[in-house]
Amino acid sequence: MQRAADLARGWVELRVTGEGEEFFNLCARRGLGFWAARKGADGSWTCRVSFLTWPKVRALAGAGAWELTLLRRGGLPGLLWRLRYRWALLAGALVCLAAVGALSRVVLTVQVSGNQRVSTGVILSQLRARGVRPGAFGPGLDTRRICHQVILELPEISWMSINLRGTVCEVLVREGTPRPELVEEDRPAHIVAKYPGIITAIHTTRGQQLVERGDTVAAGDTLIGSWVDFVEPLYYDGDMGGMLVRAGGRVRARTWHTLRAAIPLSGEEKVLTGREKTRWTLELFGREVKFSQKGGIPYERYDKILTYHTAPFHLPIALRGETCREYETRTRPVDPQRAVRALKGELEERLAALCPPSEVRRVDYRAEERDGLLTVTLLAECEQDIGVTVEDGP
Amino acid sequence: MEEKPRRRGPAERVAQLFGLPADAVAGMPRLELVGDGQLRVERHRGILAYDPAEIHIGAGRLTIRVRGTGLELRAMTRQELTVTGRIVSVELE
Repeated sequence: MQRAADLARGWVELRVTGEGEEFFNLCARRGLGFWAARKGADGSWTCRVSFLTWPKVRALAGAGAWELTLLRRGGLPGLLWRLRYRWALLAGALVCLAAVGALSRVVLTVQVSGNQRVSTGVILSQLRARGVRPGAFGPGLDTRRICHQVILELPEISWMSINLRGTVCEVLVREGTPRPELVEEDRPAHIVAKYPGIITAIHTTRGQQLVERGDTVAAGDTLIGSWVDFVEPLYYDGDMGGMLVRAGGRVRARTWHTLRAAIPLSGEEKVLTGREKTRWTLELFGREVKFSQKGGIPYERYDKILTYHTAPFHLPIALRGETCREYETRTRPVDPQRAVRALKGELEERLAALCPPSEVRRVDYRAEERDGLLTVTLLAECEQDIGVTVEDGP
Repeated sequence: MEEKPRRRGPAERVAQLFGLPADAVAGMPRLELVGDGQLRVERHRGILAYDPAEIHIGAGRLTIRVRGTGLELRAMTRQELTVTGRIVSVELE
């Protein structure tokens, strides 16, 4: 700390010859501070005074019987004093300092953390549209306003903070909890069949049961109605009416699902010709500098492969290579066994979306080739819940 | 020969009588010793003698004698001074 203070205010180390005690007492009385006073073996004294105090101390010594010898100078003011005639050097140093100070505030990397559902690319895209990108000047960014705008644009994000730490722009994100779907328990609704089938069990908790076990129903048939009739008492000839309720219950049924998938028996495949062309581009602070000359790709069909060579320390400098490889297509017969396996896998996935695998009782496959197409048909028998709640009216 | 006891000034006696801090009322020096490496003296009257082994500091009616090795007048202003080094003893006379 003492060294830093000395460096900032500048100091002059001097030798005092004569009665040092009197000299130091006089300095103290005149308010001329000094420090690091030592007495040497030869009887002389050394001490340090600040750069600004030095002329007054020298004048004080001149008026008395002391002899002062300047030993050395140090600190920033002394350095500037020595460089007072070297304007170019001084100006260059100041320009360098200013450049370092300004460039250290330029954003070089943008780091996003805390996001799980919203991808980093989406957040970076929103930030880039508002000026937060490599090459942006940090103090020129209104981070609070940008955070508000991005939160409004991405409703999944509940909180965002942009922290500028030198050349690193750190973006902290917190995602909100998804709002649960609200069920209006008072709104009338009935339960209808999702798939056709034969009812195997029905359990009604609310509403009017309209089907019985063993009944065959089509998709969309009402299974449990929302209208409940009141039972008229004995010896009452009038109609007591009824009330609308939200039907509830569970209806299980045997269902049958038929799914089909087809694939051509012959397909096209790529064959590389061996000819390729690479174009290089330098990405500097988000801007592109193309090295290759103007001209299109001379190939009709080609694959484009991008390779990036990035600079170390997360600097926003990268060399991008675009390699275009020419290819031709040729017809090739499809292996029927592999095609059937692929189609079966696809059909199983589609069946799982219709009925949980644990409720599938039996599955049959049938494959046939016709008109250059390989068609696989899946026949599945299931026992599953078929009731879905449909609300009345709009 | 027995040394004559120091006579207290009126301000110092008043401060002692009323239990007031003598450094504030009577302008007595205030010494602050930090371990054996630093001595800070407030309200001094200047240096009387200086040597790396012994420093005499004037403090009104008192003379503060600091003994040690490698003593250095670290800083000095009109009101206070700081002595550093290895301080062995501080005597008042």
